[in-house]
Amino acid sequence: MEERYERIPIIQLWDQLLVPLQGDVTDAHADRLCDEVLERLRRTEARGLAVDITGLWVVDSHLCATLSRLAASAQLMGTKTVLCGMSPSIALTLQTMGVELTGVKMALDLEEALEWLGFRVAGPDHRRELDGEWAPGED
Amino acid sequence: MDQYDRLLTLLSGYVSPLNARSVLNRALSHPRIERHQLVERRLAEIVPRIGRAAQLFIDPARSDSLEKELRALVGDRAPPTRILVEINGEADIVRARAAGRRICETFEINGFSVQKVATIISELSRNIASYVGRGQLEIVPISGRPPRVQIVAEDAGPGISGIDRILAGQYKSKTGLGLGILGSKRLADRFDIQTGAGGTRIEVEVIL
Repeated sequence: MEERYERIPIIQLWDQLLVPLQGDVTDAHADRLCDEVLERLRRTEARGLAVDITGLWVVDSHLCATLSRLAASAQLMGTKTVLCGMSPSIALTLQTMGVELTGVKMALDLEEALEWLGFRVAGPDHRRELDGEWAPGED
Repeated sequence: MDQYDRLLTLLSGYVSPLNARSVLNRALSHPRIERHQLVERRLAEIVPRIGRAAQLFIDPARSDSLEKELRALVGDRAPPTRILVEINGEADIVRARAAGRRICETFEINGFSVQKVATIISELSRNIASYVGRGQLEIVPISGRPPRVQIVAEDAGPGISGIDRILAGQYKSKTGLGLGILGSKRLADRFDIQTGAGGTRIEVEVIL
């Protein structure tokens, strides 16, 4: 069953890397991912790394330690890391346990994470346009 | 034909129509379930009550047959029984977590409670996998209002040294955050640990 999650993609977005974690990640898999991401950082000379955990259904203390280690190692290599997409119930669980993700920048969602890494949305604000409230020159 | 009529028809094959109605209404009365709430997924809850209520009216020789028909009605929607997961290595942590999730799903509970159950299972099975190598984890659903899940982790390892310091939060492991056991205790509604030279048994309960 673990085989289903064997391949977690490491996506390059210009000079940044995006890692969307999904499903149930084994310890061995998380460790291997850590190595692969750091290797890709070195090879691509990425300036930033976003790890999106929206698709994870359980995050325990061990995975938190692995993610902290990944962020700290990336930092040592000169790449900043941001973690995003933590669900309310995972946040409540980690908070209750007393797990701290010290030294890791957190963002609410992928949009916020990418903005923090320096991405900017060009053109009109889509969200407001969809709401039908947007009018040119309104701001 | 809704579930109510379906059950009524089934019962009428065993007792008089009047008694069938009375049996069904009795089964739905404590705790109260309205007719419109009697959807398929709740049958598992009702069927044992019907079986008991029908005992008053049914010909004892046919009681087994009714029992069989009722069970067939529920099919694989029967409430989950305990799941035992043998832990022999790290890969079994994922199996244990999946088992916990399956149990929570049948209670149709999600969110924080499921996260608590899954995380505790993960922490306790990892403790066994990394420090002892082998052991077992039992996940027991307990129906009731509210339902609960009991998790029992057992191994025959050398016991956890310095358990008092761990529970007091004074211990940091080199590999993890040292929070497996303490974190589980903080998440649980009931936590009991016995550890010594003969092994370790941790019993935890989470109210869903």
